[in-house]
Amino acid sequence: MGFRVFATQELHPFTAGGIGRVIGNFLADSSPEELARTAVVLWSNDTTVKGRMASVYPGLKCVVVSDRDYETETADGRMYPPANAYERTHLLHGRSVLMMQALLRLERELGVIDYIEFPDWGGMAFASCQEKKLGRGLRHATLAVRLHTTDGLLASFEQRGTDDASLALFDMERKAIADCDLIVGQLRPVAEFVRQFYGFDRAEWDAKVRIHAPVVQLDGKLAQGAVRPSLDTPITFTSKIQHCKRPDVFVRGCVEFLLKHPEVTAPVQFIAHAFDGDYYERVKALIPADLTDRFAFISGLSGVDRTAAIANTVCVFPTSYESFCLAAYEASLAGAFPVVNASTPAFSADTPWRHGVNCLGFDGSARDLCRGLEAAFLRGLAIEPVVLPADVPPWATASTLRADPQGAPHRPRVAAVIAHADDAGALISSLEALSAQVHALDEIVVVDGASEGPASVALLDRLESVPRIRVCRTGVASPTGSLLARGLDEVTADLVLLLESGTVIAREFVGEGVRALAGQVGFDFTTSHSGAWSSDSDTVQRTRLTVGEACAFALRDAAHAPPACVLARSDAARAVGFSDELGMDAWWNFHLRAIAAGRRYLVSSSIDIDAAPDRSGSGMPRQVRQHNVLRSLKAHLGDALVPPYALCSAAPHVPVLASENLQPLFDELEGYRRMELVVAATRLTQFLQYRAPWLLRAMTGTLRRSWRSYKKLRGRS
Amino acid sequence: MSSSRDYWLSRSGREFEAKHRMRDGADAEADRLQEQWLAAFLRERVRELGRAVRVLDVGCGFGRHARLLSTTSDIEYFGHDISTSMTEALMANPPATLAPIGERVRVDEAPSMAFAGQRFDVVFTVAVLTHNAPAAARSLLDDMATLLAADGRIVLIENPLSAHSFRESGRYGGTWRHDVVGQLAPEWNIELHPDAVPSRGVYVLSRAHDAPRRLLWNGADQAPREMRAEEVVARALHARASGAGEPSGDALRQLLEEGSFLHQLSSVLRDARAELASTNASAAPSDHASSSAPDHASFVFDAPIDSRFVNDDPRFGPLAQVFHKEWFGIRAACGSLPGTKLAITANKPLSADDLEEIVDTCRAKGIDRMLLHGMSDSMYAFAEAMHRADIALYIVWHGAAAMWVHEAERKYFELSAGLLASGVVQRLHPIRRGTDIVLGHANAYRKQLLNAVPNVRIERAAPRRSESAIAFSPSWNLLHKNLATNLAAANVANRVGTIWAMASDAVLVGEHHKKFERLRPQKQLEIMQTMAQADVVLNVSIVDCHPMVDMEALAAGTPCVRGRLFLDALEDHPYVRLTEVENMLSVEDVAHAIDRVLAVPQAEMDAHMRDYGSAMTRIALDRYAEFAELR
Repeated sequence: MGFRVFATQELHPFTAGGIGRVIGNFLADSSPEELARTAVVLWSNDTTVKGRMASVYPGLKCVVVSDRDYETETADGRMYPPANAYERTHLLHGRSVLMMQALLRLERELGVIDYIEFPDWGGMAFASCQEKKLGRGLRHATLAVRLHTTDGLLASFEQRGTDDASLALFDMERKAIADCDLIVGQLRPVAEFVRQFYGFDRAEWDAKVRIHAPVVQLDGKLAQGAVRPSLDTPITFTSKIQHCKRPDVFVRGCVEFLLKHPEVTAPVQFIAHAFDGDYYERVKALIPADLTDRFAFISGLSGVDRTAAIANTVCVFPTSYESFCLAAYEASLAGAFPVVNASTPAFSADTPWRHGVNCLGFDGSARDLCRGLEAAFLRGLAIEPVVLPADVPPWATASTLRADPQGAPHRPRVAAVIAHADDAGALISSLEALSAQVHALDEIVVVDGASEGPASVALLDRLESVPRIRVCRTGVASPTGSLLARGLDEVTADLVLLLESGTVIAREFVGEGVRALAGQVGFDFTTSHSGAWSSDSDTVQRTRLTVGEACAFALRDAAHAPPACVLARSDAARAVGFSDELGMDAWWNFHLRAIAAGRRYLVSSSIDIDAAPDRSGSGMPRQVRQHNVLRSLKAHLGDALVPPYALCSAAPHVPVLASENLQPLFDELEGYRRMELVVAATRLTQFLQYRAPWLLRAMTGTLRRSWRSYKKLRGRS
Repeated sequence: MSSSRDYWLSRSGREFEAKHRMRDGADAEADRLQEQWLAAFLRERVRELGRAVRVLDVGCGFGRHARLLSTTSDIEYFGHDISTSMTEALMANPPATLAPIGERVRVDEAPSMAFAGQRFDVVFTVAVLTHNAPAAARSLLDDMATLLAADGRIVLIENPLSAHSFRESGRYGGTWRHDVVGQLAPEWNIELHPDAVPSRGVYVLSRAHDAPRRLLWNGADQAPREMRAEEVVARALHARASGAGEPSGDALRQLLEEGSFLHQLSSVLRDARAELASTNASAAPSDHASSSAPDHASFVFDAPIDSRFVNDDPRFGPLAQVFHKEWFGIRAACGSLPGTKLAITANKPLSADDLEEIVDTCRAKGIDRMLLHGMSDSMYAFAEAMHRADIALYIVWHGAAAMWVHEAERKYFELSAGLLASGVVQRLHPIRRGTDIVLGHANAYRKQLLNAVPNVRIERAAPRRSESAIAFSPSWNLLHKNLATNLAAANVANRVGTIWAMASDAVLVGEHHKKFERLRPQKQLEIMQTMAQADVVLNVSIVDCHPMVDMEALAAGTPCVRGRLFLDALEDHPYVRLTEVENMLSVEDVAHAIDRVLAVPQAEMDAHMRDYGSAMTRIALDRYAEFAELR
């Protein structure tokens, strides 16, 4: 029997936050035997945590990893991006790689790991999932992602701006969920909500989702029953004071209730932390002057005191979104009277919450909260404590879920297509790298765009006499896309490596890709970050990072799309196809259309590609490049087919692509179409705020400002 | 120099040793097994020879094997390395048995230079050839062979068996896997120990003399047996694909076919790379030609070749000198100037990523202005991008109006002028005096920007000769360089005995009165070293601005005969009066100038050169600072 591992950057009591609390409760609920086969890999830059973990969780294997443990070169010789390179995607991308490196070390130390559970927030599982699917490690572990709440999902409920890093994180989190072995939903309606949010295929989702509610541990006395509110029973808000928890709804609902019912003498109390001082003040400002003495803000309570303060109160949970809401369960078990936002999936039907039985539900508005409080206080309702779910833990069945990559039924034939034009040195470098591959190539197609240089001409002449190599001469200077399309036509192999002359790949790149694609039928491409060792130092330079099928991030810039080198299933590459008219931007266009078509990528976290430089950057204004890349795509807004360049001009970086993944969003939009124009516009805004905030926010001044500063460097106009 | 060589010349042995000590797992185990194997092999040689063995460790570095082998009385250990910094720790704290350390461990260009005349029973390398490209590895092996005793052995603990040679990665300035059997050492008898050290290959080489070559497979799976080269290739490929056991039947045929493919491909690529390097080294129609083998990086900050001859000046802190990697003349001129150096490729415009990285680096270094030396499509796009990043730009046009006969020269001058007119650059300065008038721009800088003498001391091996002297022309054979006139003049000059030319197509017209040699193409430092062996440098060109050759000759301590340059500084200096030729196209006048220069007493000429060189450098730096508005 192998180990159960929790990979996290939160752990109660060392950090605040629900994720750490859930894991802490699992550990507290474990038997000594279970703990002896459990490890926690905790990211923390606090050097005191490791010692404290040993005293809080005796018997547990504790591994604390900090940013200092990040390796740019691992013992197996792999090269990873320098830590600051993740500033171009998201710092949590680097942390995901750091966690993967730590897990690989742990695997070497412990032997077999059965089960690793990651939180969905921050895409922490991203790198580990890719590593496993590439067959490089963690092969026997079930990689599970628990749906606590992603940043991307949370962003749709919060008032905040967006930026490139947010979009990268959105894609990473999405891909971590898409590519893990097991998805752990804490409540079924919440899991379904997440599926719809990301637009995942239902059949694939259902096959790997498991429902497992967290353990609820109460710091204090378990109540026998719920309080029956009287006129002086306190009304309590126990969530964090942040927008998505809707303390504003709580204040407005309570104020309306108190004004309407002067006979009620109940105090209103916030037993909650505030992390945003400005927001805290805005919430306080909602309280009318004549009621301020009825409101109290309490903080700094111990766990036991907090439980005691919540017990025997009417505890309100107006939150917009929760994946579980431990606090509501804790309140109910402590004897409080929960009033919950029933429009939140975590409190909806098919959850342990029963309206009128163990809680009162309201629709999320202040007005309906007032009605709920009236029912609680004035109708003398008696309710029971909530009944906790008793799901089978996902790690209990992990060994049956192992998904080792299956060996290929036959050795696939592998080709390479190299697009070349008048750079003999670059072509030599690429061919040298291909000849060095551990996995031998069966055919190499060099497509030459009418090279005139004597060195290129002589080299191509010589290559024609080498077996397995075919030289295709276009006879006329041709853009990169055209050369690659021509090369694809020539390929007869099952898999094809597509690259520019000058691109150099690591020795194992093809071999690992072949094995990975053979074992992972849902994936069509393998690729990696791009970069190179500097020639005169030990540093890595020219790094360009990718997060694979980046449906949000890649729209913004060619540099955010996967690099100009992939190992592809030949059929998939042909189905996507290369633009006949685009130069280096043919790659950007190719990747965007592949993503829009639902094609999936396996992405190595190490740098296995030293890509030929993208020369398009300085020759053409960025808007023009983006226009050229996007104009061949189709964009929909509901049923309306709009020219992508129209979206581009309104929001130069974030147009909408038509794809199956986005179709559910467009389907929902359809319902608004017949409404009056103004109403529809309002609803559309709300819809986008909720489901595709990145699109809406792309039209804001923030993006325009960043665009202006960006183009100052990159563009010409 | 290769980048790998540069890498090791600049590495610290102490840091490398510390890194080695931290190795764990498979690497540490391989290190242990490799030392165990080497020690056992040397003990066996002692037994076979019946005496102590002299052992040379090539690439001894921080002394890992020195400390291991120096404890055995039957082993006389000697070590060689090319890098002073790598051996510094060993030299500072050598094992007691290696005293005096200078006799036992030496740093030099090649083992044969370090231990000339000596012979060794065993010469070995551990992970040294893997840091050398195939040609360099072969050259090193040949050099090692010259030190080998008659019945000696060369032991290579290097990459695992490989069916062909290839560059493996860019780490450590480049690493290679060598096909030891087929390409690196095809004439040697080789005993292969493929299983002695995991993930490494052990090869014991002995001379085949006149007998047919023998390959002995000494694997772990069976008794040693002789093997044909093809079989070795098949085994190498089989092992590469992680195959178990011995390949046979169809699998063997497939592997042999693959081996044939890889051999043909690597042979084509090797030849193509050699030709490309040779073409780039010799074909130099102008400064706009490529000077070296292609370098993959599209830009580089402060490359060693750009910063080793700098005349430091704190005024230049906020300035970057930007030039093309491939234009060696201008690059050499920039090498003497202060400021951060940024070499960009002229071949293609830089990518947006590159530009971003450059701006980031400049900001980190506090650079707010750039001097752009020369113009190309790449430089033009670069200038526009830097302008958007609020970096002040100044262009130096290294050309003369006469060169506008070439379309490219015209085009790029017009592009530069356009940048000035549009306000993208602050100032544009054509170096050839009097050219700036065509710009008609108030912002033009009228004083002439001059080159500085490289800040390097080249030691002369012997005093200059005044008779039977060596005259050296490092110029390319181009019309404006006037090479034929220079050579013809040297041929008739009374005091010249030998003529050296570097252009591969240099021709000495007419009857050869003097010894004439064509030297191989050289890079800047080598050229100055060659100048230091000559007695006069020839550079009477027809069209030039302020030739770097003249400055390099000063650094080498050799006077340079030059044409009329019409500089606006120091033209009345005694050195100029001695070395200048008024009529550059007159063979006779050039010959007279050569004889005149050679007749000057050495001390007098040395004093003129020192004074002229230091004054020229001072003026050059002041003017560049003034031009770039540095304070």
